[in-house]
Amino acid sequence: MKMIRVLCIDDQRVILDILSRLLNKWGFQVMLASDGEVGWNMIQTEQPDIVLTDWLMPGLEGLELCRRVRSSDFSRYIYVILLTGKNDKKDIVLGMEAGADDFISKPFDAGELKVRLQAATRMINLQKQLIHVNSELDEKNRQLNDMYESIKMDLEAAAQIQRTLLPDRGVSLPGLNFEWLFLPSTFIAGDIFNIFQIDSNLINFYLIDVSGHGIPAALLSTTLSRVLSPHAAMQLFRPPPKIRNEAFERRKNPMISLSSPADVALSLNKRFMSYDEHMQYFTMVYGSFDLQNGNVTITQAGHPPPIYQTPDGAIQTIEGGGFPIGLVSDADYVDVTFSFEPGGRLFLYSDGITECRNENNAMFGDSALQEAIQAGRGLPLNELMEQLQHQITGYRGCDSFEDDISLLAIERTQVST
Amino acid sequence: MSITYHQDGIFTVVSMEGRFDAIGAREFKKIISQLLEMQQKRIVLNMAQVSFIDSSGMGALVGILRQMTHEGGDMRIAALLPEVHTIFELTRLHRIFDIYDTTAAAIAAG
Repeated sequence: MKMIRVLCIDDQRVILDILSRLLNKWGFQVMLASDGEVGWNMIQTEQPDIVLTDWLMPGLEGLELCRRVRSSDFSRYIYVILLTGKNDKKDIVLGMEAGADDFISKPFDAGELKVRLQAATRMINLQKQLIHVNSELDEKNRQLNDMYESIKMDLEAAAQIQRTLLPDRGVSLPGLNFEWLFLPSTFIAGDIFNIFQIDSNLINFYLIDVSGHGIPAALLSTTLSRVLSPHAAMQLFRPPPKIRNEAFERRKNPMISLSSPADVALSLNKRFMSYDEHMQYFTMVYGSFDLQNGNVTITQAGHPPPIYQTPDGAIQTIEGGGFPIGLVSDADYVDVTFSFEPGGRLFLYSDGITECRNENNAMFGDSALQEAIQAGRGLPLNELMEQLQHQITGYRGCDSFEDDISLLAIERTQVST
Repeated sequence: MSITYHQDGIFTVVSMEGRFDAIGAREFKKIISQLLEMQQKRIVLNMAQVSFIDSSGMGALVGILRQMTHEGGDMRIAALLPEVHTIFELTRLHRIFDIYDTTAAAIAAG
């Protein structure tokens, strides 16, 4: 530990001499000042650890010096001891109010002075340790902040990339309008969805909710978005005509012969069966709209049932379906086909909406979602989405959600093309 | 989630309380693994005090069911609260579990 530096201020030379001799003997580094003003200058330039000052001096007095020390902004604490002939309680209070740490009465006893300085030394050393620990903490904090900032930047970039996987609102599809709502619970989501045209007859769409959320879920949802991309789907639903040896091609790529949403689910279930301890799986609705006959064929894998709103406004839920994908190896999936009437609307959504909880821990619920859809029947889809987002955020009471929220709304246009 | 268990005849009744989420799932898997190591392979899950289950919880249940089946064990689920039962139905997973109204019914089912 470095030597403790003590500045002694007294207008009596003889006192300074005694103090200097004693303090040197006790191992302190001693500085001397013969009056208050000189002392104050030295305090500012030298910043001693301890100031041992006489109370009554011509010019700047000890009490005022003490006040100046306290009202200045030194980089560390300066311990002030007042040397005084005053022993009145009122004087002590006055000294403490000015910011003195201790008092030694004159004429002083060397033994007492020594223990008081030892007490001051302990305080100063503790304070130095504290400063040291604090600066280490500051450094650690800074590192943590840097790390957080870098992770946050990565996540924001990942979130932007994920958004590029969502369907482009500007794209127009024959016979259908669509709109969507996407509110990840963290930067990146385990929810993913898309809608795209396969050929002049088919428009496919899906909505997936990967178990859990955050980065692990987003890794799988991003993979799935690629696996189910329009290009991949084109291969699934429309085998390229150039294939000569079709039987051979099928053996090579069994997914090439898939033709219905249930086949897609079955195939994904084989490919994404989770065997490790993480038990990652996903729920899905996969649908296909046939432009020629106006039918939608849907398969469901452990997902909340889609909502179909008929042209006259009635709400139907499309029930049925199989297990979530990746959990049960011999799972079966079924296709449900229904007529998608012009003016009808179809809503695929993740349970993040219906299980969104308010401050009383009550869930938003299926019926609230259905009512909201019904209430917005006269609105264009984009306004309905805005209204739904407003309503769900309002219900939640904030815009941070426990689970990812996504909704894909599809409307069959009045004049079928 | 807090988990306790006691023996009832040949069954170990595992009682869970709280939220069956990712953190609960980790605890659950730990306890069941301990039971399997002790050769306790007949288990009734008393879920009367589980008010919430999410996808991680469901995943853990299926994972343990798979492990139990693999090791020739028997896992039964009892006393699901309506809101939790709804999640089982929504994911259709009620079809792969043996679910009973009460712990006693699960044990009595033989």
